[in-house]
Amino acid sequence: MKAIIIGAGEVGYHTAAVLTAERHDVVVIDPSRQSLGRAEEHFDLMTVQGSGASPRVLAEAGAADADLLIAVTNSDEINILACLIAGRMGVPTKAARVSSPDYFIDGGVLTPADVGIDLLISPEALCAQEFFRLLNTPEARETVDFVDGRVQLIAFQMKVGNPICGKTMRELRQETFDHPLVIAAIKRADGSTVIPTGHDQIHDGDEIFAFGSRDAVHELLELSGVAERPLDRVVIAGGSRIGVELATVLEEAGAHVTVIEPDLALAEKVSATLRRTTVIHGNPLHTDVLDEAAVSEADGFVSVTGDDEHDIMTCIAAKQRGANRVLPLIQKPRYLPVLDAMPTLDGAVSRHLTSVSHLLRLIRRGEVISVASLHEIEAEAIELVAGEGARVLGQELGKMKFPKDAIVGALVRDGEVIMPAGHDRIEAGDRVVVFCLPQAVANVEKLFASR
Amino acid sequence: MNKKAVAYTLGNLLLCVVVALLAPLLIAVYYGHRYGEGDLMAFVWTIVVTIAAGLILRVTCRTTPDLHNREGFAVVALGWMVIALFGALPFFFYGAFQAEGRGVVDEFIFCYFESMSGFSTTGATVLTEIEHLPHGILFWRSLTHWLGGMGIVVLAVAILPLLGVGGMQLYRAEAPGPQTDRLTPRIASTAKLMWGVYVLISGVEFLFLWGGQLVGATQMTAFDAACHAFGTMATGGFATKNASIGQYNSVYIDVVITCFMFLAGTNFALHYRALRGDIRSYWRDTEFRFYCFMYAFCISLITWNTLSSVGGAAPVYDSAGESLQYASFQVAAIITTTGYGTADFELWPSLSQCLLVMMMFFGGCAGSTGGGMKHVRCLLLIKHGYAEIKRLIMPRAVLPIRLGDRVVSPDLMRNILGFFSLFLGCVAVATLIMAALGLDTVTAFTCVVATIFNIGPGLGTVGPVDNYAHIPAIGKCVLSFCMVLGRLELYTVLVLFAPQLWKR
Repeated sequence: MKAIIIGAGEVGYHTAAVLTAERHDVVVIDPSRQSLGRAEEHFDLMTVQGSGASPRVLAEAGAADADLLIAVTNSDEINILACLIAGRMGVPTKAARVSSPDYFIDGGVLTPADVGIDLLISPEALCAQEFFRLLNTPEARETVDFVDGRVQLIAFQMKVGNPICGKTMRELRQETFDHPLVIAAIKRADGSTVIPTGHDQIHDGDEIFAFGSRDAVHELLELSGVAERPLDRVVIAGGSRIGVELATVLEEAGAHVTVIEPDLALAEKVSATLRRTTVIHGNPLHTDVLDEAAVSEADGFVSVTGDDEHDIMTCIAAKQRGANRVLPLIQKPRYLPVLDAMPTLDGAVSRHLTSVSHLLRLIRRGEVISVASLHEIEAEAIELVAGEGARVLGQELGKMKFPKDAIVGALVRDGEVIMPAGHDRIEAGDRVVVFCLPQAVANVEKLFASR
Repeated sequence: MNKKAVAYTLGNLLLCVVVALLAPLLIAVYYGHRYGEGDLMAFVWTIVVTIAAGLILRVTCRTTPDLHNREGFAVVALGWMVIALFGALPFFFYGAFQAEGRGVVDEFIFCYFESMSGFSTTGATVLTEIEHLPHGILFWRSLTHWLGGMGIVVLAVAILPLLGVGGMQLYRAEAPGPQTDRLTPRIASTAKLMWGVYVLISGVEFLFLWGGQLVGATQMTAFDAACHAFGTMATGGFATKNASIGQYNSVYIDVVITCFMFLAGTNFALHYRALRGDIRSYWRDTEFRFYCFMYAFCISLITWNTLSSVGGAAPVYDSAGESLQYASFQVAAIITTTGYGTADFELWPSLSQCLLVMMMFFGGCAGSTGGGMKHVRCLLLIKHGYAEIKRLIMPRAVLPIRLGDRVVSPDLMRNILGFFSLFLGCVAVATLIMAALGLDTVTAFTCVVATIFNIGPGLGTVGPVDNYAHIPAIGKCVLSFCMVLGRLELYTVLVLFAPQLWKR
């Protein structure tokens, strides 16, 4: 497949990383020689210097025979225009990152289809949803919903004293859980990742990636001694667009939200938009401001000012003042590995990688419904439908040759969630969630493709 | 640096060499069976030794070859030296250079020089009696040219997935010219296309040479036609006859080889576009126009010079046709760095000789199989020099350097200036060494130029009718190194000497 990526920023760069690793033809367009150089140095791709909204540049990049266009510059206008032009040049699938909610409002004069956009991505809305999910799942470092929320993937840190520690996979499956749970991967304290077999043991400090129904995830949290309590009070530092989106979602869920914003004009604007939210004007790093927002009683604290260092510091300060869960927004993906060394933080949301995992849907062939790329480890969770005549059908999972670096996390048949064991078979039409490391993605797709 | 990954990849490259060795093996079987030539065992032993070495490297250094910039340089530079080493084994096992009073080490240096001269497409030979050698050895000699011409590592990138993610680094380290033309987004498919064009044009030339018999022009056998096609398309210069192409004394062969030398010195990306139907892409390319101009200019000057009696010397040739035939062949042979010979240009007037030596610096086009500095670099250096003069007169003027309608980035210009100064430095050092070994000034200078620019024949005692056998052993080592320096365009080899490359 040939893909054109417009914008060699963080989103473009990381999307290119995934696409080239899967041996697709990738052309990246960006006006900055430097950004292009960075992509060219690391990945096997072609670059074209120029504006992505210029027909000449698009032609030079070979839009005539491209299958996919991904417009992810910082400018909404360039992204929209690029999709429009690429559509005229015959690119069948187009995705655009559009931040401003003003262009495509419900019942507005312009729809994404008018300009040929097949997938609209708003990083702000995606981040807000991600924050919301994390806040709702205590102790989770990352969560993803599949099959309309009936299957959940949860990344969960093992702390000392957790009764699960020291057990093998077999013991867990047979003795511990009432609701079936599939542990898809374990990230060891030394940073290595294993896809466990029956004999692998869970240790202190491991991070586990588990699939299960909501009940199963609930059970796991309960066993681990984490009390689930409804979100009541959330403090958001930063009245940026993500902050406002998140506050809106939280308001709808019935939480009490406080927003801290240092800029008076912005604070006033936020306060005008959000009726039930308390807006405090002040610097969130000052203790008296944090106290005024009653951080000590907060169930969740989120910092989304847009400055990574500032956000991390604010979260640590909030934790010190007694906030329950603190989550910063991270703009620079290279900070993510460093965050492992900061146990104070309860997780993080990456502004760019959230968009990347959303974009991946487009490149997965055929029956794939959704894809999540995890930022805690280099892995993907793919939700797909087993196609008619696919090679995976009819064989017992335990006996067939399933790719080594992949594992079936859950399957849904006729609306019922099944956590697969060795003797289960996959039938045509099943919705299956597969967890896999990058090198296995192509093989998994082949297994499930209809013939 | 990930030394294990480098060793592992080198092991894989050696196994590729084994595949290439099967071709001369078949030839040796055929001629051994039919005419009783005895070079079969030389190839059998070479294959055994190479497989053993390749497997040992593969097994002991088993790892996922994750190649980055540093490893890419190391793989390509070391790869070429190691491949030339194993490529020398057939000559050694056959005893092609055995002679009275020549030690084993000395003999092996002869073999290594010949092998490196083949792979680097230099075409400088240390053989005195070429026609005495069996066909298998001769075929291997020409095949090394052909493999080295488009690049053996590029070939590996094209057909083997084993080089993995680092394919681009390897490609860049081996491909000639200041910038690499990407025909497709993925480097493996670009490499495939380049090799495809290369194979195609080589095939056409083979048919022309072999088919010469049909028009009653020549007596070139299929074997000789193949060897000469390899030598031409790689801009190498190994022939199968003692007197090179001159032995055939045929206008038809001269014209065919002249044309194909010219094509081989052209950017293969242009050939690809032309084959796709965009024939005008040739003329749109500034470098190609400059290349044509320099070629035409040299031919006219030399034709005139060899016809007239400047400086009181008698004209070399009687008729304009003859003069044009030899001049166009010899200029193409030098400018594309092939180094075939039809005329002894040492008998030409000194203006013509000087011009040929200068054209050695120019070399082919970027992205061709030719050696030298490449026309595009020379053109940009000239433009840069002109801009500097203008800047003295108008200090505030903004003077971008253009190539076609594109502005050349200062980074690229800096790279070229560095390249030029390094080339001059290397030529100077190597010339001094050769002079210290007792060669006369003209020979010392031209033998270095002829090897570092991958041409073959120089002037003096290494002229078109002489060979390199008389150069002392140390000199042969220095010149072998010059050849790989020139073929990989300096930087790739010279970074091996930077201690930072070897650190983790």
